[in-house]
Amino acid sequence: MKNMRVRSFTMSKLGNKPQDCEDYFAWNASRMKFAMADGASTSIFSDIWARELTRVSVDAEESIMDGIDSPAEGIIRSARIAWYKSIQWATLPWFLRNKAVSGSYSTLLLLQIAPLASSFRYSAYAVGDTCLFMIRRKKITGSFPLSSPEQFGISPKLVWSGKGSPLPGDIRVQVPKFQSQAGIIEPGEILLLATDALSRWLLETGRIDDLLHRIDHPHEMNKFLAGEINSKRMRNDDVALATIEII
Amino acid sequence: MSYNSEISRRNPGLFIFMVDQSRSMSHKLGGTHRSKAQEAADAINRQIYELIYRCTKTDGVRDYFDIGIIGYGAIADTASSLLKDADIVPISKLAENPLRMEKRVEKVTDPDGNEVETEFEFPVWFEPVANSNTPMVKAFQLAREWIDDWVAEHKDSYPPVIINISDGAATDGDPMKVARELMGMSTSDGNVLLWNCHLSELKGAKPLAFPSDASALPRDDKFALQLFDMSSVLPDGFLSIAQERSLDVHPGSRAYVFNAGLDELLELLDIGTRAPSENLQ
Repeated sequence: MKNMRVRSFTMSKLGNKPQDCEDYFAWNASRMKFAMADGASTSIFSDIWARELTRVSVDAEESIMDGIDSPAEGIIRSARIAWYKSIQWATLPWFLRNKAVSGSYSTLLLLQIAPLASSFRYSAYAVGDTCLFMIRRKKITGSFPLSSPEQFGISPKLVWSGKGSPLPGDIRVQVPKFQSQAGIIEPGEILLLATDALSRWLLETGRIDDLLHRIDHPHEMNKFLAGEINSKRMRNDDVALATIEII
Repeated sequence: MSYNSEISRRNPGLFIFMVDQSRSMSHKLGGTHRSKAQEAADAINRQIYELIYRCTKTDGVRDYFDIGIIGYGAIADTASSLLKDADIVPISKLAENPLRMEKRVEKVTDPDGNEVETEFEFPVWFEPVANSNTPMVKAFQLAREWIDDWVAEHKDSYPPVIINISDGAATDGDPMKVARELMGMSTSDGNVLLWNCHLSELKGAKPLAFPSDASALPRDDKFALQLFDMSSVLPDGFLSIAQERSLDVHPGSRAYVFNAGLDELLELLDIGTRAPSENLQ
């Protein structure tokens, strides 16, 4: 994809190991699909759930340019089956087994882009507080689905895996209500995806340039975000960030 | 601001459960068909289960809390740890080493409304005992020793929470002095919190939960007043949780339930452990 540059970054909550991160980003260049998910830390195996939701979403063949209603059930069902198969149910100790039966939860932000003559059209769908930002000349020109810091609560809407064992893997799934937004993006503009703590920080500070010039330098980005967290300007949480730059 | 410390593996919290094992605990808890000892043991076992549930992540049980359980009165004039070979333990050790596991059955409903009956394992860490007198002073002294050591190693942690469940007055002296000493101990985030739950065997006894004024207590009951005086004032975080559950609490309400039945016992345990759990990081 020569007229598009995609970059991404993830970071665990301070005090946790890198592998504890439950935020995921995936993209598929040929389908021009992007997905970000934030696994809920109140449930377990949410990292697997977030990973499978993003992977299945971007690999799904069906277009989401004109709506999510038709593909949503297939995406969630395939992600559930993959999530279920990834867990060794029979050998879990009692404390994992008793909690895992309740299933896993995650936010989900989906995006697909399609080229027009000299620009791109995008369609975005969201469950929860993982956000998409529209950026022009290093300024935020819009955000979706949330547009102000006060909208971030402690109980965002989430996509549920459904219950775990003893129920089987392949069962009917609940399809949540997605919010949607569509628009046009011009050359020189950037679409930025971010999980909740960073999205809220962005809406509060507007400091987009601090992220854009560090995204290719993970060590610097880690250091910068740790500083924001330690100075209480940003909540200590896992972070996923991705930028799609139209060239 | 106190009681705001984040609770993490680097900065864990501490719960100490204290349970009366005196002979009168063999009497039925008011409004139930089981003894006070059975209901108290069940309630604490369930609360530990709940705490482990909250600390369970994909990689296992994270040590957000240390736990101690003190029993008093199983042997005359004696208070001791109810955990085998240990005093205070990280919560993951409790998860790994229950005394025994019980098989219980629950129904799981599938998306089409069909119920699947399934066995699950429920851990038990200590058994009900009702045997001798009520050496509550010794129990508080033991808690003070444990907390003294723990606070020295966790100076900035969320302050320890002690939950004492009893049905009668101490038989080894006046617990007020040591209770006040306990409530005077602190971390940088606030003073130790002492909760008291008085169990009643009287059917229809009117429970009095989280009183803010001693005049609400029965006038002729010195024990009720003593427990009021040796219960901490509820910090704001606990007050909010109690208010969310439509309980009649006010600034100044004490961490205390008098004449508790099973519902009040469970509620006190849940509120007592809920506010620190909301500081988990």
